[in-house]
Amino acid sequence: MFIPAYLKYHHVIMDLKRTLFTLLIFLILAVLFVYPFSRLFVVGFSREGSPTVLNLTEILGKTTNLVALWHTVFVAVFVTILAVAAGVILSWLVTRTNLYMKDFFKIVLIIPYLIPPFISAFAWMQLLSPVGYFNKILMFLFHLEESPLGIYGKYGIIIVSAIYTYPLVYISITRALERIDPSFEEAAQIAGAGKLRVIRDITLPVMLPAVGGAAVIVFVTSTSMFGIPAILGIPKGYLVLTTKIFLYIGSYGTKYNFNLAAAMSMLLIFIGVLGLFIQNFATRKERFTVITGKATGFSIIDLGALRVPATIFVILFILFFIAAPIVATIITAITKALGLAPRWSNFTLGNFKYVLFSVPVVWRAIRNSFFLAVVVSTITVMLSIVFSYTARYTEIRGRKLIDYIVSAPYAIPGTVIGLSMILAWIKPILGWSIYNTIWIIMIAYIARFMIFPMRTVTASFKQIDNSLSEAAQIAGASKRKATLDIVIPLIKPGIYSGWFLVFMPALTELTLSILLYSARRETIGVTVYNMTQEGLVLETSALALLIIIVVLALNLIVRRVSRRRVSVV
Amino acid sequence: MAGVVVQDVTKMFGQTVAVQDFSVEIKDGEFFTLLGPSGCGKTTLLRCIAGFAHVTKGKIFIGDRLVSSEDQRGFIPPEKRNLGMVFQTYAVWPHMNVFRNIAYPLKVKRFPERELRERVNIILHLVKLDKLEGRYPNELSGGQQQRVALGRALIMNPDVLLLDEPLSNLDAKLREEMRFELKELQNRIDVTIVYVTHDQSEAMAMSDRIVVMEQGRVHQIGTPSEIYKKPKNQFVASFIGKSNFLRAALLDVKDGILRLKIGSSGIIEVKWRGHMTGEEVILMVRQHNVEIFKKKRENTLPARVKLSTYLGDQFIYEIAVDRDTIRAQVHEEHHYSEGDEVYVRLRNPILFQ
Repeated sequence: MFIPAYLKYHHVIMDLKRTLFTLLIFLILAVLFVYPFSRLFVVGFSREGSPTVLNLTEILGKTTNLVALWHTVFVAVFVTILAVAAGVILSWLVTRTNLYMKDFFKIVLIIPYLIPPFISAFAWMQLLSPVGYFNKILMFLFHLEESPLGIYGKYGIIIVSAIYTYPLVYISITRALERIDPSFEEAAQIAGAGKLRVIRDITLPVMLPAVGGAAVIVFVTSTSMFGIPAILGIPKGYLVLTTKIFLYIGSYGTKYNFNLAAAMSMLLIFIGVLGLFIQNFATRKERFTVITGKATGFSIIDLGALRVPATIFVILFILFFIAAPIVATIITAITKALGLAPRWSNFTLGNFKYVLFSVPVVWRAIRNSFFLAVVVSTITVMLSIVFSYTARYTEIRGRKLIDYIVSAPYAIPGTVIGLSMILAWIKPILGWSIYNTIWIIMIAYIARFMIFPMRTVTASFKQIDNSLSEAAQIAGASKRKATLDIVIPLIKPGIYSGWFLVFMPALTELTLSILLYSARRETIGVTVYNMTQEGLVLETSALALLIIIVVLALNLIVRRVSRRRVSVV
Repeated sequence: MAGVVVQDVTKMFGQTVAVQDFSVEIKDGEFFTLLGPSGCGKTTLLRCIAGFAHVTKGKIFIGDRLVSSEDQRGFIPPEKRNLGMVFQTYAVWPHMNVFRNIAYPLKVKRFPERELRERVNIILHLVKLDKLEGRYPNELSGGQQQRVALGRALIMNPDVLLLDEPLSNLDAKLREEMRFELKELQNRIDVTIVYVTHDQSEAMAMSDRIVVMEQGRVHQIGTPSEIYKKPKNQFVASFIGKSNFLRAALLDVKDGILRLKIGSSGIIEVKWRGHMTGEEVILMVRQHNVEIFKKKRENTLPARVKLSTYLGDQFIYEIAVDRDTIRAQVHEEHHYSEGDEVYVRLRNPILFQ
């Protein structure tokens, strides 16, 4: 049979295109993920080029390291217990009972998750440090010589971390509660069970997988947190694995400091992977698939005589754990000099003026952070579209791998990602180095935040039945046009929320930036952190307050614009 | 066992009326069906009887006990009404196996272990789940899950068994089987059943009596045959059975024989005992009561075949009669083609004003 030449070549060109495309995708994955993490692994298991397990044994042989490991687990366990308790109770009250002011609570209760954790830690210092307002009030009331409460050390870390993480539980439990088939509970009532009995026998057990899943997420989040234990733990020498790794990286005098930090990272990753493994195992039991999908009109439980007390309980919770630290930050931010009583005559706006116009690093940091946040969220969203599309619609080899590679950093703490980036890029490659530039921060951000848009975009793709674009093709559109006209508009919500999910945390990122920044490459997070270290409390308060305002305002705007829950995970 | 009395019940959700001035007396041991299109208030009424919804007005008695009224203080919560209920989604608890699901009502009442096991075994046998007691819901088919729900509803020997569209989530074949099974089950265990459905054939097949509802109001209460043969109004006639409606002009009445003019196509005589006044009447005829002839006969109307559909055991013809189109369901071997000019006779018509 005769085959025209152009057809033959067409085939070859298509093959070439496909090969190049595949190569490009895996090159990107290699630069972002594979190379840095393999460097971490290599450095952790070698010294001066020769393989060894000495790093690991040295790490495990040192008491201070084991103490840090113990601290990490100790803190995580208590954070998980507190966050799960608070999240479940609040979610149940707001979702299923006739509490007052529910619409207000629904919005306010997720605020702690929107505020960057190191800002929260700083705000809590204003309340509970030896000169904090709570302590002062207590000392005044009870005529105490010393401050009764302490924010530094394990209790402070646990409290602030639990407040930061309970919204994760709150959000996922609320979703599960909204979707549970109301007939489950009604059937138990018909069977003769009273209200409390129904909760005990049906609601709680049916919710158990959702609660377990949320608990694991809180646990893993807690073990990988850096900002809170750095600000509240390091000053008192209460170290967890992340802060310990951070200190190792910084201690250039120590021999093999990078190798030891890498080895310790393995330990931390191991805990995270273990957590995810447990979660996978726990949620695999299909017996618990009770989510019906449609949100049916579940019954609202009448609290009766407890209605007012329960509402007051939630209000007190909000006042103490959400409002108080913010108010404390406001007061400090407008006080003329540290230690002055909060009196009208002692108030000023000078701190804002000073921090915005007299500290050059602040504007530079704002510029850097905005640049990074915009570029990184745009790049991650574009990459997610390409990756998700490739994984779903093409047949290139290894497409299934993409998702695994991109998801890996989910179990890897920011500190470890930062270390991997240092190890990967510290030496010039082909005479070209990105170390000590803004580009290494950018690559690190991309690696860390890639998972967010990847999830929303993949989820959007999954919702689109193939028949939708096939119908467009039947109607005469080319495959490319069908994608443009049908698929892209349908995944738009996923794209927008993915972009925002990266933009917000990138804007105030601390963990990676603190490891990777260099002179003139400071980010907002780094600047706030360094200012707290220098003891510039008034100025830091002013800046922290501005950040809180911007973050909350942006969330509010996005909420308004999208009219859907895009602002949170 | 007990009857249910619903007395002038009105249920409002905000400004929306879900059930309006509804009264019915369900007899002890009766299979009573609430039938109507979705949104007609039948499920709301069932939930009022169950105690999941409070009545806005009126009273509900189970047996001779007042369980719901406007006065909230006398309200008896669902768990104290001694009812059984099968939900549309079955609501078989996913974290309990078959045995524990069925045993739960006994557990709540603190039955001793031995008696509990005995009674569960009897029920397991009754609903044909003997060998599956250790299984979890996700290991059961839809039909099996439904039997679990049924067993759980029956184990306390409830006064009344409430069934909320229990067959709607089953596939067609199983649905048909379960109809007979449910009916047979009731004969064996003597329980009052209140059944909610939108499926008229389900209602016809099982019920002792049916109430046809629409927009929260009663259209008709009666036995299946009463409702089928003597529908009170057009809604009931259209909801039950396959019906045709024709507009007709009433010419005159003589000795219980009405002469009707159907458009310009002809005049027919109809035997009718009811009272008819005015000039316009609506004539209803069931699809299987439409006879088709090739030639003109006595009391027939000229018509034209528009469409014929073959269904294996019968034909369905769409036939134009004057300005109206009716359907005829015929078993004859004789086949008419589209466009054929024919004559139709309307047997056993029912007239509405």
